[in-house]
Amino acid sequence: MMHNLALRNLRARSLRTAILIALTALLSLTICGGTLLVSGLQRGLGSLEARLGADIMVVPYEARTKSNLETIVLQGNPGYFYMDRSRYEKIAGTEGIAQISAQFYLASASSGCCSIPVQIIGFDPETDFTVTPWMKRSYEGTLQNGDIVVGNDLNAFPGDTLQFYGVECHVAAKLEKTGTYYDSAVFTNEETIVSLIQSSLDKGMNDFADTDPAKAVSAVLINVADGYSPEEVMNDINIHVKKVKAVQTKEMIAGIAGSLQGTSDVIGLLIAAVWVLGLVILLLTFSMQMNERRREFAVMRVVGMSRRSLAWLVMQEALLSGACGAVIGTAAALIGMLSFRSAIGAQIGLPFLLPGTAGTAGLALGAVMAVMLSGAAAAACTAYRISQIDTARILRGDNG
Amino acid sequence: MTLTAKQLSKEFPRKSRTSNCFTALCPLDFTLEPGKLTVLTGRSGSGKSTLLNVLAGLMQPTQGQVLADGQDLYAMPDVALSEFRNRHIGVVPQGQTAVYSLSLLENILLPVTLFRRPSDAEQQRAQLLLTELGIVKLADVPPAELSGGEMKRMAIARALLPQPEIVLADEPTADLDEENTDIVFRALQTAAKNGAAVLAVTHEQGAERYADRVCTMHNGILEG
Repeated sequence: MMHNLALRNLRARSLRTAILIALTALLSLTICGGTLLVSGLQRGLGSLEARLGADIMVVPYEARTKSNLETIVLQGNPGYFYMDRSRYEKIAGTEGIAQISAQFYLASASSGCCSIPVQIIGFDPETDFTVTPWMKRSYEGTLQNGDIVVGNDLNAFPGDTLQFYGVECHVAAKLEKTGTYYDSAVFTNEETIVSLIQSSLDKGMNDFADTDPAKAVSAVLINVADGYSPEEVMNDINIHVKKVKAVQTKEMIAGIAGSLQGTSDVIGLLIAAVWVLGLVILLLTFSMQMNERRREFAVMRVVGMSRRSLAWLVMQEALLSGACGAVIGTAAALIGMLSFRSAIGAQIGLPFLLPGTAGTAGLALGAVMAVMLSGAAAAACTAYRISQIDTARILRGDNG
Repeated sequence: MTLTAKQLSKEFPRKSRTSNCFTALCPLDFTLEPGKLTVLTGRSGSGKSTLLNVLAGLMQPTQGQVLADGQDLYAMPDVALSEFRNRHIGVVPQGQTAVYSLSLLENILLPVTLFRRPSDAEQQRAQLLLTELGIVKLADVPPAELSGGEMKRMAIARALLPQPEIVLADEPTADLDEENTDIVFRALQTAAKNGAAVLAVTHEQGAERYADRVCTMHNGILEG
């Protein structure tokens, strides 16, 4: 059998082949890119929800604006604001609180001060219920004074030493990727953060306004006790504790998750529309090809090619061009999404976490298969029609 | 191999209100004997090409049988009939016929390469046919660059390459000058001399001089 006849036919009609490849590449680009986008958004939000782990977040009143809160809650970008620890005590006195823990956010935006510019988040290991469970997946030990845990995007590894405001810190662990700003943050305990604050003040960096840095906290995280609603506790705090703003974090995430579902549906519809359009164009292209090559197919029949072999030749051509386009389009989608994932997350304003290697490979393979199947389905109709051609009538120049 | 048509007829359906079918072949008996070149003449539309296509196993007759050494072609499933045609029947179709992604030589070798790698003997035979038909210098040229006459000679070489026992040629000299017409008829004569049963459908004046037998079609009726 002439194994490369399909390939020769594709090469001989380079323009038609290029159009077929471009079309299937566009299809796979849309399917793979769209699916990765939706998956990245869903995983990002899921990851943030899992990381956050608190019903209510309380921040100083100056951080109350919607955009500020969304940046903190939805993107995991802490920001730099402080309130006196006495407010933490007052909040802790509110009825219906099961767990409460304070966090401190320290700016390290300039690499001049430190080994790397990062956000430093201080937490109390005694009371913390948000960072510790997540950290335990990467680090079983207890953080000692001077120990830090680094986010996944930072170029530091366990055993390394980083310097912040002149203080040497030992990297105890590296966290899993979250798709949020936490990936570029550094976590440490209260003792270490106090020494870092003091060192930053000594160097004339960071402004704590009228707050005593030794007694300052940035945010308070709360889990509500059974039998109480988060809304009730939130309202209680907003009414009774001055100069703070309490928000329901999971409610904000649920709201975003709802709109994200809508976005996912729209993207799904767009993928389906492009797919249907692509399928129609493929059908038309194959159909045109059939008319254009009727005599050629008739010659194949004359020299002894069976109807089934003729149909298989057409399928081979479609599968070859389809595979080529599918691989190109999927590769383009993968390169695009992997290269610009941070920019995509920043542009959308939501955490963006692509699936792991196996998940991404699975999606890519699925896109390739879906496009190849579409091409095969479109070609199958044409292949069937070609297999049914009336050789004698075609050879006599009768189009009927 | 003897090709026999028994009570063969072919009718085509029509959309016309006055007649709902057109009779291309009236019931006929016909035998194509090995070692003989039969020339079939007749006016356009008389049913010559229809008869050739039915004999080639390319067009199902309305009635009757086509027997190759007693084997009914139309009783075979498509795969078997295709394989039979590849092995035993060389067809020169009407008009220009080529696979455009292949060179002239590859087109000639197509009946072989579709199923296997050509042997040295088949390669040599292809070269011989190219020389005999005056197209040896065009071996590597793609069909798109060939003239109508060159394409026709390529089709004849393609049909004769596997040394088929039956050769059916439909207007094999349609685009050829006198010299090339002579070359083609001599090639068909040689095939017949080598034992093939050869049928040439033609309008060519003087084709009778190459023939062992001459038949004429007239409105679907075979004479001679």
